[in-house]
Amino acid sequence: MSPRNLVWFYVRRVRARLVQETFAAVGIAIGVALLFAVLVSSRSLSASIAQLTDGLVGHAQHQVVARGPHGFDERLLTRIGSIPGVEAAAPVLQMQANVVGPGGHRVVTLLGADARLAELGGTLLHGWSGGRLAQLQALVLPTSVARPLGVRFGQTVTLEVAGRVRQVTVGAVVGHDDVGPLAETPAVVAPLQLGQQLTGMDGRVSRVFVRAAPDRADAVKRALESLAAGRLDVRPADSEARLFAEAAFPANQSAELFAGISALVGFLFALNAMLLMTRERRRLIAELRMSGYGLRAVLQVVVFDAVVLGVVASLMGVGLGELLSLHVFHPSPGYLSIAFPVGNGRTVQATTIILAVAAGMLAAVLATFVPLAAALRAQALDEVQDDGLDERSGRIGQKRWWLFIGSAACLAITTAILVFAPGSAQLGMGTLVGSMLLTLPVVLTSVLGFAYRLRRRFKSVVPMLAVGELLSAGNRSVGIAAIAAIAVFGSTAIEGAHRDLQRGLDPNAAELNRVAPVWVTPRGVSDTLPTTPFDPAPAIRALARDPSVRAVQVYRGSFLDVGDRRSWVIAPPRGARDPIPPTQVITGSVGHATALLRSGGWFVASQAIATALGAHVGDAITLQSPRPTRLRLAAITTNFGWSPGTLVLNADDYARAWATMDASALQVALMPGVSAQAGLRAVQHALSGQAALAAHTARQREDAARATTRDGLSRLTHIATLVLLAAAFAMAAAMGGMVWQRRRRLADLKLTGIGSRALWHGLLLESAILLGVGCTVGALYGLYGEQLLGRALNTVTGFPVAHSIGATVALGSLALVTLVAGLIAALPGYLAARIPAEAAFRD
Amino acid sequence: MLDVRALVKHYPTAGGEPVRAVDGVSFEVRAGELVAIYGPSGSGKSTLLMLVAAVMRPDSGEILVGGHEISRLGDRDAARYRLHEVGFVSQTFHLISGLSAIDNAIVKLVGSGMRPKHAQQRITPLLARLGVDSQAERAPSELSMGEQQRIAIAKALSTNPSLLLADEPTGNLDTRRSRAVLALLSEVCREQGTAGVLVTHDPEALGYVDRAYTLRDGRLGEHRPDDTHLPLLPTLEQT
Ligand SMILES: Nc1ncnc2c1ncn2[C@@H]1O[C@H](COP(=O)(O)OP(=O)(O)OP(=O)(O)O)[C@@H](O)[C@H]1O
Ligand SMILES: [Mg+2]
Repeated sequence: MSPRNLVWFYVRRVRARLVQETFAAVGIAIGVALLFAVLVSSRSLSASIAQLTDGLVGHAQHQVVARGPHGFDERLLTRIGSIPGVEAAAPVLQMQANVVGPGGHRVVTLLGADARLAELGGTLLHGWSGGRLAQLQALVLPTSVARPLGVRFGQTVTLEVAGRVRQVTVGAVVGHDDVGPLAETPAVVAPLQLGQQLTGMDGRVSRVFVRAAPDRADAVKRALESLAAGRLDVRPADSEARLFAEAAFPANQSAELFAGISALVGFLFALNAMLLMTRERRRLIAELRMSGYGLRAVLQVVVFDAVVLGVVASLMGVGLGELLSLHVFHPSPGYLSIAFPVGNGRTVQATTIILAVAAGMLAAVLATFVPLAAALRAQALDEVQDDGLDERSGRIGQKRWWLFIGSAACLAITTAILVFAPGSAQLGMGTLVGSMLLTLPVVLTSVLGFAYRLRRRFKSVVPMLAVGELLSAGNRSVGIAAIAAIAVFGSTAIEGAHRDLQRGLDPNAAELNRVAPVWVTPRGVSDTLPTTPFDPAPAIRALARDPSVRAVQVYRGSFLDVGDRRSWVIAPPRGARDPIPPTQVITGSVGHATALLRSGGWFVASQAIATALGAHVGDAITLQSPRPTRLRLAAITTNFGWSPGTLVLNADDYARAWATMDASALQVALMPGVSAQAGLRAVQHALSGQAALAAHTARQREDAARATTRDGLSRLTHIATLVLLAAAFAMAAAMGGMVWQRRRRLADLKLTGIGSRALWHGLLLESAILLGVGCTVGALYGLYGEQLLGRALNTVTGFPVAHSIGATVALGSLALVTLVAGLIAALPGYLAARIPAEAAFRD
Repeated sequence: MLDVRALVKHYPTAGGEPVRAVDGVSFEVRAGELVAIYGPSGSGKSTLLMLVAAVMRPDSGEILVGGHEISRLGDRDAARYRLHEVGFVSQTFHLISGLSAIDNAIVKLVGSGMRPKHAQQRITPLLARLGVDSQAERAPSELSMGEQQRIAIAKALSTNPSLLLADEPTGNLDTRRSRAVLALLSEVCREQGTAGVLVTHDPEALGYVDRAYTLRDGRLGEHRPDDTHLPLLPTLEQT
C-alpha cells in the first residue's frame, strides 16, 4: 500500500473510533508521563554533579584529594608539577558553606580556585583569565544562587563556613551565557587565597587536579601515589560523580521501580482501550483480505495504526511529564546536599526523552498487536470474520493450569530472590508482578465461577446480569482487574516499604541526638550531620562560665571516602551516654561494642562500609584516614539513613586519626533541674559572642533530621498517589468503554422490560466484583512486595528498616482505588443504564 | 386486545420538513390473532412497533392494550408494561454470552421478581415446545442461529404476554428456518390467546398470518394480494 493510501485509510477509519483511540492514547500518555517525570527528577541530580565535575576537571585525569576537611599543604603542588608528564595541576579548596542574602539562605559548595584551573580546560572558569579572578577578592555566584538570595553584583552576602561568619562582596553573577548548565549548580567560586582566608585554611587545599600527557597517565598516577604516601587519596578526576551515584542509588532505584509500575499501569490502560477496538479491527482485517489484500498490506495498515498511536501518545506523555516534573516532582537532593555539591536544577536529557518515547511506542505496538494476533494468524476468512453474536474477546481461564503453574514459578523465583539475593529487588518485583498477573485470571474465573453457580440463588436479575456480562467480557474483565491490582500492589508495596523505612529512621534520629540535651554546631549546613570542623576552645571557655551548664564534651565528625562510598564519620565523646544508637546494631552486642568503643582502638561500621573494608566483627583494619590508623571492628550497624554508609569511633581516636583537635559539635550537659529549653537559652546567651555557632536542643535536631528524611521520601508518596489516581481513572475509563460497547444489548434488555435501576445495579455489581478481586489480589501481593523492598533496603542499602506488615497501607490503597474507581465508574454505568430502549432498533 | 387509533409520529429533521414515519395509523388486533404489517424499508414499521412497545411516545393518537392507554406511560410504568404485557422478538437477539441459554431465557421472569429456580421450571415446557430444551445449559455461542432465535422467542414469551411484537424476526434466517419460526409464532398466538403483530418486508411471511396491512410512507392500508411484489424493488435498492 502506498503511504498516501495508508494515510487516507487511517483518516477515514479514525473518525469512527476517535473515543477509543483517545482512551488508548491517554493511557499510554499517562504511563509515559510518569516515567518521564520520574526519570527527569532522578537523573537531574546526577546530571547536576556531573556538570560541576566536568566544569571543574576539564581534561584532567587524576586528582590528589585530602581525606579530611582540613585539606593538605599547598606546597605539595610544586612537587606534583615537577613530576615528568604532568601538563597541568590545579589546586582547589572545597567546603560546604551557607550563603545568606536578603532573600534567604542556601547551602552551597564553596570552591577556591585560581587561574591554573582554567588550564585544565573545564568550563567553570572558562573566560575568567586568571589575573581577573585573583584580583577580584570577591565571590562569583551562579544565577541559580544569586537570584533566590536576592543579591546582585557588587552587594555583599554573609558566608557561614567552617564555623566562621564573614561578609563578602559578590564580584560577579554568572548565568547560562557564561557557564552553561553550571549556572544551575549550587557552587560559589572564590579566588583561592580568599577561599583560604574565609575557611581559615591558610596555605591548604582540598584537592589538586592533574592533567597528564595522555601517554604518561599511568606513570603520573604511580608518581602521585608515591607522593601521597598513604595519607592522601589518588583518584580519577571525576570520582565525585561515582561517589554521588553510590549515594543516590537507593533513592533512584525506588523511583525507577515506580516509573516501571506507572508505565505498566499506562500500558494496561492502553491495552484495555485496544481490546475495545478488537472487533472493529478484526472486521477490517477480514474485509481487507476479502477485497484481495495480502497479509503484507494488512500488516502495513495495523503497523501504521500502532505508529500513529505511539507517536501521538508519546508526545502527549512527554508534554504531560514535563508539566509533572515542573510542578510535582522537583528534583530534591535532600540531605545529600550536605556532602555533595548537588543542585536542584532540572536537566532533561535526550536519552530520557528517547527512553520515554520508546516505552510509549512499545506499549502502542504491543497494545495493537496482542489483541489482533489471532486474527492475523487466521488462515480462513471465516475465522477472522466476526460472528456478530458477541464481542468474542476470548474466554478466560481456559489455560488455568498453565497460568497457575506459571504464577507459582514466578512466586518461587521471587521468594528465592527475597531469601538469597535481596539485592535484585527490581527483578523480584518484576517476577512478583508477573506472578500476580498470572494469578489474577485464575482468581477472577474462580470468583466468577463461584458467582455463576450462585446466580440462581437470588431473587433478583442483578447478579445474573452482572456475572453473565463479566463472563462475556472475557479478557477485558481481566484487563480491568489487572489495572486495579497493579495500582494497589505498587502503592501498597512502596508506601509500605516507605513507612517501614520511616519507622526505622525515626528512632535512629532520636538516639543519635538525645545523647545530649543541647548541641552547639557551626551555623548553617551541618544542622543534621555535624561534619564541619571549628575551633571549640573559645566556645568551651564561654560555656564553662555558665552556671546551668554541667559539662561540655567535644563531638567530632566528617565524611571519609571509602572506596566509592562517602561514609559519614561519627565520633562521639568517650563519655557519651549511648555512643552507638542501640536499636541500629545489626551484628554484635550493643553493650559490649559500646564498652570497646569507649576503651578506644575500636570502631563500628555499617554493613556496606564493613564490606568495603573487608572487615568482620573482631577484625583489625587500617582506616585510610588522614593519618592512617589501625582499628578493630566492634559491631555492624545500619547506615543511620545515610545511604553510602557510616563509621563510628570515639572522639579521641578521631582526633588521632584525623590529626586535628577541632570539633564538629559540642554536646552540652545541663545541671540537674535545668530544662532543655532553659538550657538552650543559657547556651545561646553564653555564645552570643560566637556568631558562627548555633545551639539547638536534642528535640529540635531530631525534628530537623526527621523532616529531612521525610522530605526526601515524600516523593515516593507523591508518585504512589499519582499512580493510584491514574489507575482509578484508567479503570473507570476502561469500564466505561466496556459498558459503552454493550449499550445495544442494554437497550435490548430495556426493551425486554428490565428497568434502568436494575441495569445500573448490575453494572455497579460488575465494577464491584472487578475492583474487589483486582484490589484484593493487588493488596496481598503488595504486602509481599513490601517485604521484598524492605529487605532490599535493609540489606543492600543498609537503611534501618522496621519490618512489619503494612496492612493499614494495603487497606488504605485498596479503599482509595475502590472508592475513586467505583465513583467514577458509577457515572458511565448510570448513563449507560439510562439508554433509551429505542436504541435497540438502531444498529 | 390491541387497539391503535389515529396514531401519528413525525421525526423532526435538520432540513426542516419532518419525516412522517407514522401518519395516522389505526388498526386492531384481537387476542389469539397474528397480524402482519407489511411494508418496504423506511415505511415506518419499526417506529410503529416502538410506539406500541411504549419505547417512544406518539405525537397524537391512542394505543389501548386490554383497554388501557399505554402511550403516555412514564419510564417505570413503561418498563413494567413491557415486562409483563409485551413479548418482543427482533432479528438480532443480543443474548448474554456469559450466561447459559436457559439463563438468557429466564431473564424476564427473574426481572419480574420470580426465583430463578422457579423460573427455570416454568420455562422448561416452553423450551421443549420450541425444541431447544436439550440445549438449555449450553452457552449461546454453542447454539446455531435458529436455536438462538428460539431462545430469544422463549424469553419474549416467558411472561405469558398479552401482546407479541416481532420486528423482522426472520431477517437472519434461511428459508426453512424462517418458515419454522413464523409457524411457531402464529401457533403460539393462537394457543396462548396472544395478540401478535409481525412487522416484515418478507412477502413469504404473509402466508402465516391471519390478516395483513400494508404500510407505506407511514400510512396504513388493507393489504391486497397484488401489493405483495411491489415493495420488493425499493427494498432491495435501499438495503
Ligand atoms: N430518529 C429518527 N429521526 C429522524 N428520522 C427517523 C428516525 N428514525 C427513523 N426515521 C425515519 O423514519 C422513517 C421510518 O423509519 P423506521 O425505522 O420506522 O422504518 P422501517 O419501516 O422499520 O424500515 P426498515 O424496514 O428498514 O427497518 C424512515 O424514513 C426513517 O428514515
Ligand atoms: Mg425497521
